[in-house]
Amino acid sequence: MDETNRDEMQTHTNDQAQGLRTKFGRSFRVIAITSGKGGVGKSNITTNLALTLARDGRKVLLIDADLGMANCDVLMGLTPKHDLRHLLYEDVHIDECLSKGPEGVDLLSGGSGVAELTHLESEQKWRLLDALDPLGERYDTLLIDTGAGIGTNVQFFAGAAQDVVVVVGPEPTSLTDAYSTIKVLANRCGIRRVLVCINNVTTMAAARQVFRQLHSVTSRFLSVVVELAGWIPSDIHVEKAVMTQVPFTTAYPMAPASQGITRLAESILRRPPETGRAGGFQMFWKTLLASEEYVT
Amino acid sequence: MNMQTFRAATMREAMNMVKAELGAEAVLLSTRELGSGRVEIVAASDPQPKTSVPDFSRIARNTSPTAVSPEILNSMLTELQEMRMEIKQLRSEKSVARRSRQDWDRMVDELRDLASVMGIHGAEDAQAAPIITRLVRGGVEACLARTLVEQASQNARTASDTLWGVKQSLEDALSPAPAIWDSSSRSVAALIGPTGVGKTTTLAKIAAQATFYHGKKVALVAADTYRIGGTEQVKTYAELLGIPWMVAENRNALAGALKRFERADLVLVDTSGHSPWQDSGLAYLDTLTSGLPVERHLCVMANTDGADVSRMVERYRSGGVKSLVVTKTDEARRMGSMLSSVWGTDLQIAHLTTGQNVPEDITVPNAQKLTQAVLG
Repeated sequence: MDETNRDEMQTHTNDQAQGLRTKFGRSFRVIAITSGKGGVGKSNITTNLALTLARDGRKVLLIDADLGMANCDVLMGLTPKHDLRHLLYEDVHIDECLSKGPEGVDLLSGGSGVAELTHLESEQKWRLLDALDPLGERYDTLLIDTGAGIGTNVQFFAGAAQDVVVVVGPEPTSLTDAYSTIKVLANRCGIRRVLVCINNVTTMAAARQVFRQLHSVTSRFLSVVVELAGWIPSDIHVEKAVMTQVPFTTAYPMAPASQGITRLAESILRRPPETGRAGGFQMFWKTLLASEEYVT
Repeated sequence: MNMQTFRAATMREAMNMVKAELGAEAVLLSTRELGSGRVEIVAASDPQPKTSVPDFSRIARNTSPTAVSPEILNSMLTELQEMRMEIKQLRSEKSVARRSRQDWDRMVDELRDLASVMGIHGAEDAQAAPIITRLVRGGVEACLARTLVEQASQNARTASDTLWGVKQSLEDALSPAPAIWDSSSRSVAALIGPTGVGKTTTLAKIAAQATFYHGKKVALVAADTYRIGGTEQVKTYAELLGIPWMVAENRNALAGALKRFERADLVLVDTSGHSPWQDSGLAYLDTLTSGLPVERHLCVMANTDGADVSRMVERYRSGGVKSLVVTKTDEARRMGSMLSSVWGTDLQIAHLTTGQNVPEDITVPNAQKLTQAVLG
């Protein structure tokens, strides 16, 4: 552990979550981030969440599985040479498929390989598991940007993760789309708890209001627990940071949005992972590749 | 999910539209008045909430259409209807069970009240017993109820005289303290009390009331650096109200904050909650405010047991308490513990809080109404 990490830990020693931090702080976590519709800031939140978790001493692998609009690389100012497709079909070594991002976060771009993951031959599956094997030692946190909507892709990753965070914007369309996504997660992936992050709202009261609306519909019509895990305030720094291709938590660590990400990270880690889901790195990939459900 | 906006002249009319369009299951997302007397409701429903459509499509894909004979379809339909009936029956049984459970709880409560009265009084005279019972049902500790009635019945000839006497002593005891925002000179008020009684929310309500309705210059100090998001909350409220705030993690920082807010009419200090039964919590408060001109107002929850509340007040009083704030009165079924909190002390209640809305849900108590609430 280097010096900054140690300082980081010490600043945390005096609040009520101290026990929780030591208890859940270093367990293996697989978190999928999704949203009902595009453009609500999902990739930006995912990227910055990865960096914030890394700053807190976690070893993070970020998988960009957003098929249509993968842009975690752009947000971090990276240009990956290889992606998952190269790993699957061109025998490129896993290490060459990873890009080194800021704060020690590694990025694995899905590229078009993501779509192919959902229908691999069993030999390819074993090859992939073998290739990924050495990574288990390196990371304790797997963060997956699943893309938006209710496609097989989203279900594929969300179904194998321990926790699913749905990013919701304040506009009514975002609400209905978030509901549809949660419905699919509950009815088709057997997910029993969904965490919600409200993005781009002016006050906590506004975030609560959006969450309350979503919760009133899900609690009436679906059998899934929906919890508010955090909210990110509208913040001019976010846009500024995107323009310069520096993640906003790096460029403006004290900005309101960055503080929102810190609260979100704490709130996710504070909860024990949803029970009965894959617990380790290998387990995650095995669960993922074993799910025949998504073979079309 | 089907989400729609409805506008109509009256709420009832709009509700009828919601039901007609979205069904009785619909959830109301928001309601507001549009001015000129019209109202707007946003509502949503999901016509096919839990049916897993994909499963059917898979069946359809794997089996040719001719494979499903009308007989099979019919038998499935009958089965489905039977299952529906069964579910309906189960549901109604469940609600019956729930209702009788509530009745049962109420009976147990009443029996317990009666038992405590009987246990203490045995052969109490017929006039006093009903009044004591009434007080105990209102949540007053049995021994306190007995004392009250005994005192009142000394000069009383009839039961109604006794009741009148009891009411008088309740009204005396429950007369309010001046509102925290009412002080004519500059004041520094710290809200203290056990964890989770609503100190921060109460602080925000007082700050908002003082700012908006009483024209005071208010500043906030967040001394709760222990709880996650403790200072964050104070900050959010301060920003919403547009008033200055500071964090004070210890006594010296608090002294600095008070100096900086020298020109404010009212400085409100949010402290962290502690167990009243542990000396360390009380010591923390004493250290925090030692030598500073800080008035301490104790927050207690309305639904705390009467005996507990009076001991709690006793513990906090040793370090000085200016007045009481009784919180979450909307969550309490009985108000008797309020009496316990002030009985036998020179303390008075400055505020009651009645819900979660900031700043609406805070009031200055009215002795008659409180008396009525205690007597039920």
